[in-house]
Amino acid sequence: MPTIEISKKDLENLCGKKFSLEKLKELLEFVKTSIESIEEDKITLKIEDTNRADLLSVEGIARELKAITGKEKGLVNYEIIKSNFVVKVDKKVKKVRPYTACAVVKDLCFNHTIIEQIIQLQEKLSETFGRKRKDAAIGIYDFDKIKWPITYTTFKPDSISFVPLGFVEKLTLKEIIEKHEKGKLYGHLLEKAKEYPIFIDANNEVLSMPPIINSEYSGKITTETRNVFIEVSGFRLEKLLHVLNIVVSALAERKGKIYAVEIHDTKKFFTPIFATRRKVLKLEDINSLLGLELNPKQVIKLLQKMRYNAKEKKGKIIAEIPFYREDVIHNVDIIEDIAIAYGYKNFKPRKPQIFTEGKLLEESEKKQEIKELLIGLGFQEINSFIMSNKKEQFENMNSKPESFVKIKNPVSETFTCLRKSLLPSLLKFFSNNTTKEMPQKIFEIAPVVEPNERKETKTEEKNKIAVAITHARANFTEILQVLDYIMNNLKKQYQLEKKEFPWFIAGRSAEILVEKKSIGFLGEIAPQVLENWNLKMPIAAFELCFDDLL
Amino acid sequence: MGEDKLISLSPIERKVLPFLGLGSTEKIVEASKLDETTVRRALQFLENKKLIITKKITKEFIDLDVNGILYKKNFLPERKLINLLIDKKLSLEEARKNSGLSENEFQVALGVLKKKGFIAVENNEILPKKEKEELIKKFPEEKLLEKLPAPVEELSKDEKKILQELKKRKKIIVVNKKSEIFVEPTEECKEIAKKLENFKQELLEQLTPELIKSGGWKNKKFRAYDVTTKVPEIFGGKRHFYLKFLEKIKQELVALGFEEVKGPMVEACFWNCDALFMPQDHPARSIHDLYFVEGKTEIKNFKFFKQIKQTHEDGWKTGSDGWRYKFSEEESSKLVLRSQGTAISARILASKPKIPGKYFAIARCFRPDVTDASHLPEFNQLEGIIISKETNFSELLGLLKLLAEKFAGTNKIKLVPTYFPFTEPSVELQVFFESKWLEIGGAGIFRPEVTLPLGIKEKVLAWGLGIDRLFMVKNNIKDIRDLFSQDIEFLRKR
Repeated sequence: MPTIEISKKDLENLCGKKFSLEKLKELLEFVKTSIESIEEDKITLKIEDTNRADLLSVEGIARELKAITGKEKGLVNYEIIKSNFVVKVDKKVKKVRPYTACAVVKDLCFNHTIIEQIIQLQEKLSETFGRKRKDAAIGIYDFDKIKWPITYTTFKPDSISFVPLGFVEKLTLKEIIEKHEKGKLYGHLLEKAKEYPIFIDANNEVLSMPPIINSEYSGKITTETRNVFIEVSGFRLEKLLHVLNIVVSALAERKGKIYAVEIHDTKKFFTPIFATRRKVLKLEDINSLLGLELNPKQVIKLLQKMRYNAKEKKGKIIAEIPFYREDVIHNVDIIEDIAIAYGYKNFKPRKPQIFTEGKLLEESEKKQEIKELLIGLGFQEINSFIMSNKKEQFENMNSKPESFVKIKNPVSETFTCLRKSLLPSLLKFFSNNTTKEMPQKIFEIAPVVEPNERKETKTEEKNKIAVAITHARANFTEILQVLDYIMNNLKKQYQLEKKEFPWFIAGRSAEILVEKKSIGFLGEIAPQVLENWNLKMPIAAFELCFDDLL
Repeated sequence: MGEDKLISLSPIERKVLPFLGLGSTEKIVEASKLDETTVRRALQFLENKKLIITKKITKEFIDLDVNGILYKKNFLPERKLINLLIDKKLSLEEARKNSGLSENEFQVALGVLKKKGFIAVENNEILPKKEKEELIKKFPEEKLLEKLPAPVEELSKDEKKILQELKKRKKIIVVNKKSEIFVEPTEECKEIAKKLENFKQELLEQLTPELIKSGGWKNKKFRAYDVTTKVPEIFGGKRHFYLKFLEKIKQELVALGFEEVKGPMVEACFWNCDALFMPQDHPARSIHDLYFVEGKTEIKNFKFFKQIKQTHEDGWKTGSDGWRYKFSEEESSKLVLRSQGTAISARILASKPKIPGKYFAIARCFRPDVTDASHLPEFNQLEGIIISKETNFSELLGLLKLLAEKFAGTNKIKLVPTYFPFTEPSVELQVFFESKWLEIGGAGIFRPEVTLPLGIKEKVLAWGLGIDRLFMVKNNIKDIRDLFSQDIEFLRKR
């Protein structure tokens, strides 16, 4: 979940209104945002809705709050002024980073807080929506240092050099990738490129090498900066236009004047484009989804509170969606906004009306039956992890690692695969309790997972029962008595057949068969296995497949 | 007076009673010919009856450590060395080789012997400085080793000095603290002891079948028990405290008309993410949020594959604009460990559910988190759906209110707008607990992009509760690892 840091005063200035902390919390719920921490004037906000790029800036949040508090309503109206600013897109960029969308914003008045906010927006946007600059990278420049037109082109890594942001000496493109902090961080995005993308102006001054770094010359915003040039580069024009709109509309909230830039790509077009979309809603769909009885007038008012324009036409509601709300892709998104504007706390919660018959899974019923039997015999139930590792599953058990479900991206050595057998979980438990009161009698009924190529998910889950006893005289007879008791109570005929297992003492283990099918094993744990687990007492145990008992 | 107590004495108490004057437990053990545990128990009983006063005194005992035991058997290194030097001198090299000592032992032995003035080292040669008789005499160190184990207080001043020296050497000496209980009988006790000698009447101990049959109990008294005595703890079989809670939750949901379902833990991205309309480049699908498993599934055979793919790309027939990208089959066919219980709900929708219908599952889920007091890579989610044409958001809020009452035991709740990729509208359930608002669950109505491609035209209310957290809050458990506790004592007492 993205977080942003804002200044409460700054937010209040933007909204033209002061809020108590309580009031602010309440208002932020309308934009699915909560306060994560407060440090005097500095507030960290957590934005729940990862699809709303417009909320990644204090300006965007203020825009919504102004409508929620009733200061404004309906669509915002930012003017785009025509201009002759041109960005030429060289064909060569199509191979590396094919598109750009640009804008100019003038008459800004930056202070440190505003600069911080703009940099934060730029970073958060390229991290989240730009997928760590891969899909969209944003550059903001001092307009007054640029000689128009700008060209978006490519250069060979060694053929040109410029001073990257935060440096004093010139570096070649190759050196920037190798030496600059951002080059190391984002260089992989140009890994396969033979030439690197460059924005360069009519004076042959490099503006930037997207998506890596701006130039020190023009790519720096200070409190002196009044006018800015903004470019977004990436792979899908639609996405770039959206990201550009978010940045430009944030600056518009700072009273900047927006100028269009003409992009000379394979076609010529102007950016930014503030295009609203429309969706038509049936009143009955709104009311039936929400369980309310709203009339068209109420719906229109609620939509305006969420910055939509709306009108009624032939019994239908036509909603005009703010241009920055790319997250609205279905009528249900609009209906949710109506519900939020209505206020969740104003709903009258009603218990679901439908009648249905409840029931447990058959396996849940059976599990309880067996658990009851084991508890009657004095066994303690345990709860362990399904994730495990090779050492516990195989090495400690004296057995060879055969096929098992491996995790590709483990975080720790403890959890690198899924367990194939339940018995190691019980031995592990004992190994953590060697100094505790004996005897110890434990069991677990839980799933294990095995590879199975024929199954849809290439794996098969099985519920197993594992039972183990440890004390100075724990033996085969004692554990067999437990198995016998369970099977007799379940009215299951079973046979034992002599069979050796690497983890049992040879000659003291058996396979458990039901209707000639092997369903498990039973025996005394081999001393080598006890040693592997650092266990000091004899253990007798069995494990069997619970699903085969159903 | 004293008669009641006299009758209540157990056989072991009676056995130790004559020896209480001896004072120390050790002596009582010796004199009574009972084992130490029995004597200690008897003393405990007597103390409970206020017949004796006990005092615990801790003494330091000197004993042999590993090397000490070895040296006592095979001689000290200095003895081994001096034995080579009786009436002859040796080069350092030869001495080192012939002594069979480790380098460390050899150096120590040289040092000790030099200090005693038994040898001198000149020009890489060791020269004996004393006569044979002197050299073969027992060292005080050897005498001390033979005397051990012994309490520190019984050592002479000189012996203590030697002890200090030996302590500096590797694992010769070990000092054990041993506590001994000293007993002092009260006046009452002494009286009882006297009476006991004259007490001819035989008291009955255990009532046996033989006694009942023979009538041998008639006209006799039973020894009275001290009913306040503490007994050794026993442990019965017990359900796991948390699994028991999960079962109770299941029962309650069944009572509300929900049917239990399940789904696989190793899941295709198709079900874990795509069927839930999570965009394929969503950050929650990265290696930091999902455990990936080797292998992949043949996704094209899936019945719903085509329409889900198209729903992502352009909305299909759902009325949605879709995500407007090219759907990756590769991504969709990856296998992961289920990261959200909602994957099960998607599978239920795809498997011709009853309509209207209510389903729930308790799902083990996995996320690559580093383990600490509030995070585990494995956790449980309670997940449920209601499928019905007639239902709506107001009913979902009503259901959440009901669940909070049932499972969190509170009606102080807050329902707050939130975001999930698969529901719209979405709502978060918060409950007021110990002066704080806590998020305990999320819910919403499944997007048409989720339901329609799976053939469901009705509305589907979906809800999930973080039951691990809920249980912890309700039971004041601070560390989530306790739910998977590896401590049998903890489980026995829970």
